Amino acid sequence: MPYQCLERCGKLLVAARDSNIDLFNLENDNAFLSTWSCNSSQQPQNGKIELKKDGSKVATNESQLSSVEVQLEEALTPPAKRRKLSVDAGKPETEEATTEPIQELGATENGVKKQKKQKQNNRSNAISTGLEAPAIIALAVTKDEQHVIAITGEDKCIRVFEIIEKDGILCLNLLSERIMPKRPSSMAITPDSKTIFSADKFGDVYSLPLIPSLTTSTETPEQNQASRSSSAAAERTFQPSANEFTIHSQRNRIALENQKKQTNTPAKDTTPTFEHTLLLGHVSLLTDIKLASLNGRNYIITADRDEHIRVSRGIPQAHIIEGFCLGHKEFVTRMCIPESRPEILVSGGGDNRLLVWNWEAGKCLSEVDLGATLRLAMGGDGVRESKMSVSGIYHIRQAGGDMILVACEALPVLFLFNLNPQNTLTISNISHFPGNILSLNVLPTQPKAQGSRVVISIDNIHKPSSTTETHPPGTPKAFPLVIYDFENGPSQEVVKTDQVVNVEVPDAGNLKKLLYSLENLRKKGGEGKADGAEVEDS
Amino acid sequence: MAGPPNKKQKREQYKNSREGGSTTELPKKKFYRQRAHANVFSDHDLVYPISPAHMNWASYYPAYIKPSDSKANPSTDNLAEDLRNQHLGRAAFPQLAQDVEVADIGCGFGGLLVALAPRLPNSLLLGMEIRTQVTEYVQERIKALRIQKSTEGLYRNAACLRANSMKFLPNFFKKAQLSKIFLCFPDPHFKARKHKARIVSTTLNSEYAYVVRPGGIVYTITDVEDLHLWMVGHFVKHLSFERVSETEQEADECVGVMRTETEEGQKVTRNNGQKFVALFRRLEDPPW
Repeated sequence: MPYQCLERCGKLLVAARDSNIDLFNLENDNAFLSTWSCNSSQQPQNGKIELKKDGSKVATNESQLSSVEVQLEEALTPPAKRRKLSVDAGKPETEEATTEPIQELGATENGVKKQKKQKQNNRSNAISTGLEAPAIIALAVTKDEQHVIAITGEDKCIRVFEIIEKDGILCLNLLSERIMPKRPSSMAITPDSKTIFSADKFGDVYSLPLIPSLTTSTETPEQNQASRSSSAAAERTFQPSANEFTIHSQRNRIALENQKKQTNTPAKDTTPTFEHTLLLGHVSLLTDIKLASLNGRNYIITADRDEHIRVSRGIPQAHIIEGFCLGHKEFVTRMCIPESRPEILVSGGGDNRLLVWNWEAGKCLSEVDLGATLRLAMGGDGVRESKMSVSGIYHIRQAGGDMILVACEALPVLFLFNLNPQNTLTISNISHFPGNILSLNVLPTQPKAQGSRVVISIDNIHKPSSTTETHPPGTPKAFPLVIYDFENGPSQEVVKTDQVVNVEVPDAGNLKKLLYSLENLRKKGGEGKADGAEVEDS
Repeated sequence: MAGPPNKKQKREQYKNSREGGSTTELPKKKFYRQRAHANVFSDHDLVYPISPAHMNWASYYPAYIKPSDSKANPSTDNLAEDLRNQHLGRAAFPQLAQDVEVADIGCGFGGLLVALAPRLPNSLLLGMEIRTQVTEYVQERIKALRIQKSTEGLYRNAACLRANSMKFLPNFFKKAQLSKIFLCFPDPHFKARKHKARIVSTTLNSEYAYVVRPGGIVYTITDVEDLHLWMVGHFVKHLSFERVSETEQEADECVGVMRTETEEGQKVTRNNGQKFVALFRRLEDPPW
């Protein structure tokens, strides 16, 4: 199983594979230390219960909640989300058992309609858990190297870990799990290691404290439950937003009549209970977020699927947009601000180009065509003509100056560019690897070595340049993590990290979804053609 | 596929008969009707400039093209600019003498645009509409009006284009380019689940603040009280805006036009409905 995200936390390498996080000791021959697994840990508590409660409430919403139902719901509180878990089958089965009475209750009370609702819920649950346990889609390490933060996609959860020593072995200790309103796609941590900025697929950016404050986080599910049922008992009267003046068609009039008959609504409260602040939002899918600082001012830079890079002021003026960096012709996927050149932003996406920006002025300084670069280097053959999407942009500082490393989705090559003082990128080298590059992280320079080292995660399951073809069984697998040395220019790998365990690989579809999801951001041409025919019928 | 084939045929015939562009007859709405709701989150098949600098406004406001004298004596400045244009892959196109200053977001059939154009003769007005058919109608309407009033030179300052302004407003307008934005009778999106699709939200207001210059006004009108309260709430909460006082609001000539001249406004009047108006002024950004 290859690693989809890599981060470095001091001397530790933090690597995520599927729903597990492995720790390696970089100072001790890259030895394996420990694994944190999402399966074995407690499932997240607050958000998902609500989802389920909503489900059951919806199922019984016609009448007021009877006391029996409330009791049943309370009994339901401890087990969390119903999730497909094949490994430890004991827990989910008991869970299933506790939920069944409610289903039956619903069925006997109001027949087919409710069963349908329940079914839909199950289905959406099943969809939301494409993998058996939620896979980790992003990792981050605080600047003080005390905490590791992980995002899981399917359950929209942000988990914060601390690094502790248990029985003489360093391992991750889960501190908090927070379920976000929408699925996060990227995050950034403030330099003071106190705040997480989470950018989600709905286009919103939230800030949340790294360590949830005690007053809000101590609210137990039970208390939460109690307050919820009491509010439900208070029976908020439902007020239709429309009135007889605002509607013009017969059908709408009937709908309004029906709405008026409905006296109360299920109090739907899906806002998280922990402290979180909405900072800004795009009407698009966010792909990356970076925090920048220039001349003593803080900025938030966000990239989205609709080709935008937005530069907003930092907290507390995040509502003010300073500018946009507009120039990409396809979705933007990654941005990189070189530490040594904070006024520069390098961005890449689905249009085969890298753009170098003066991000404060929103001015494009230079661009590089990745496709042309690759074709030139390989003599034009063996290169896919299809689109590329940039999956990672990294900065390293070499003796010779600043370098920008670029990886593309489903390509077994790493581009090495020199970032010149004139703000242009010139290709220095294209390195080939035995598998597609999934992630990369810069390692600290060793005192005796001059060059920087990076650790690279390689897809050892799929054939190079492919997201579908896998190596035939029996072929020796490449090491998933290789360390790459830049001393005297690029050289061969020097150290190979120990292979942890040969865990079974999730089925091909899920693995592809996890490792190669960027290409899905591409807009499908021609889809909108049907739109023109969307003509009113009257 | 909506509608029987002969309806489609009739539309085509009608539109073909209008082609050539010299008819003074106003287009008929019945050939341009389209479902009142569009999904703002989907991609559609939109055409939009990469950035405001890439926008060719000349075809929309041909009367306002800056007389080009750069060809006569190409200065080094222009040469550099041309090179830069080439570098960025954009064709050099004629520039306008002035920028668009007033945007009607979700202009519908263009009632407000047509009513405002003669009243604001010194500004360029742009209607933005997401529905193709409706956009086409407004474009035809303006075309016909321009020909009708060619001697007076009216309606040359109004134009309409298809755009999803919730996503692409900064692709069309530079920072602080606009002095007025109109949000007239927007889709109310009653369901809570759909609230992000509303044209006014805390996060989207930041984009309006970006394109509107300090002192500029955002005009809103709706017949849904709930939506009115929502819009007021979100604009007032946004630190870049303040609500304009009632006296000042009523003194604004655009408010009257907005109440009576928009298609939706007239429809509401016919139904004896209520109209809720609110204006918001863009404040100066605080120093930092």
